[in-house]
Amino acid sequence: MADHESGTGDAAADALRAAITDEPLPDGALEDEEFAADHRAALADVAVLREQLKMIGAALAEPEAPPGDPAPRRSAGRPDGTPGKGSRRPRARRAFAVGTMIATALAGVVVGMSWLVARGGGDGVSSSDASSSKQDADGGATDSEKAGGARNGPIRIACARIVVEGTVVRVEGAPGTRQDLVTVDVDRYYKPEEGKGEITFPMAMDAHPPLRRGDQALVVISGGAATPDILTTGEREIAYDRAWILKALPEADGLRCTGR
Amino acid sequence: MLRRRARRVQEDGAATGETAGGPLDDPLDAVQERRVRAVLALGGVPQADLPDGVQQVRLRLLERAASGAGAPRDVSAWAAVVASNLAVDWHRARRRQERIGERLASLRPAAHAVDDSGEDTKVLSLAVARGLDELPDAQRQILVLRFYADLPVRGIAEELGIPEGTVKSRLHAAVRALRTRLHEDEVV
Repeated sequence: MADHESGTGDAAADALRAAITDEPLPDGALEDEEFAADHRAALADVAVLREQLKMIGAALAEPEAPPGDPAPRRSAGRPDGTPGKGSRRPRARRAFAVGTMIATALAGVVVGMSWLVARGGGDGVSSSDASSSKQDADGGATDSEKAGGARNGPIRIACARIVVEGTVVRVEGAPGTRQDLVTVDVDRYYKPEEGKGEITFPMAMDAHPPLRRGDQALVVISGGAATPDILTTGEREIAYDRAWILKALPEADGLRCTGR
Repeated sequence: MLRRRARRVQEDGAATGETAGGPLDDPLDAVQERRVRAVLALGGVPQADLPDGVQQVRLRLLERAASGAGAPRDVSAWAAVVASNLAVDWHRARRRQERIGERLASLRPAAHAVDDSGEDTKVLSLAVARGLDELPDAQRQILVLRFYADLPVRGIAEELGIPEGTVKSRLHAAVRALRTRLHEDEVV
C-alpha cells in the first residue's frame, strides 16, 4: 500500500474518506497537491484491499482438501464457480427448489458438511420397488444401485445432514413457485441426535403421490441440499429404510465425506 | 406408489427452469453461493460451518419469497448482507470464530495463491487477513460488504438499517486500522 502518512491528518483523512466512499470530490479539491497525493495513495490502498479481500475470500471459500492430497481439489468448473463441462458438482451445488423454507432443524444444527462423497454411479438411493419413484433427473438409479439404501448406507448416512422420521403436518404451496413446503413434526432424529421439533423443506409440487397431512415420513437430507434425497412414506417402506439406516449409523461414524 | 425419492435436478436445467418435474430454481446460483461462502469466511465463520451458513442465507431468501416481498433487486448484494449479518451473529452466539489469518496460513500454497505473484502476495494476504481478525465485528462486516461485495455506502446503510454516517465512520476506521497495521508489518 502507498505511504498513508503523508499530508496533514485532516487532509489525509478526507482523502481516505473520499476514496473509500467513492463520493465525488469537492470542486477544486485535486488542485491541492497534498490532497491529491493523499487521495491517490488512498485509492491505491483501497484497490489493494479490494484485491486482497477477493483473493482471501476466494481462498477461504474453497472447501478443504482431504489430508494427503497434494493440493486441494478444485472444481472442474470455471474460475467463477460455474460448472465446467463434465464436472461433478457436490450435492450442495445442485439446483434447489424455490420455496419458502428449508429444513428449520438446520438452524439448530452446526454440522459442517462441506464435503460430499465422490459417488461412482450417480446419486440417489435406489428403490427396491421397481414401480416406485421416477428416475432422478440427473441420470437415475442404475441397476447397481438398486439395492435400497443398504449398499451405500454408511456413506449416505455419513453425508447426510438430517435423517428423521415424523408426521407430515403441513403441505403448503410456496407463492410464485411450483414448490410445496412440507413441514414434518419430527418423532425421531437419527442424525443429528436431536434437533427442532419440526423441519420444513421444499418439494416439487407435482411429486407423486402427493404428500398429505398425516402421512408418516422418513426424510434424509444431505450435504447442502434443501430438498430431501430420500422421502419415504408407507409403513412397510419406512420400516425398510429404518432398518438400513439403523445399521448404517454406527458404520457411518468413522466415515468422512470427501470432496469433489 | 408408497415410496418416493425427492427429485434432484441437473445443474444445467436448474437455471432454465423446466425439468420433468417442473421448474426448480436454486435461489443462489453458483457464483452467488461462492460469494456468500467468501463473505461468511471473511467474517470468521469456521470452514466447517460454511455450508450451514449458506443454507441459512438460502432460507432467508426463500422466506422472503414466501412472504410475498418478492426477490431482492440485487440478490447478490442482499445475500452478501445476510451472510455478513450471519457472520456477526455467529460470533455473538459464542460459536467458535475462526481467525481467518490462521485459516489462510494453513491453506496449501496451491489453494492460497490465486495468482502466481509469489511470496509477496502471500505475505500481504496473510497480513490483511490478520488485520481483518483484529477488527471489531461491525467494522469488519462493513469492510467486507464495501470492498468484497462492492456494495455502495448507501446500500449498506439501507440493508443494515443504520445511518450512512455510521457506515462511513466504521469504514474509515477499518481501513485506517488496516493501513496502519500493514505499514507496521512493513508489507506495504
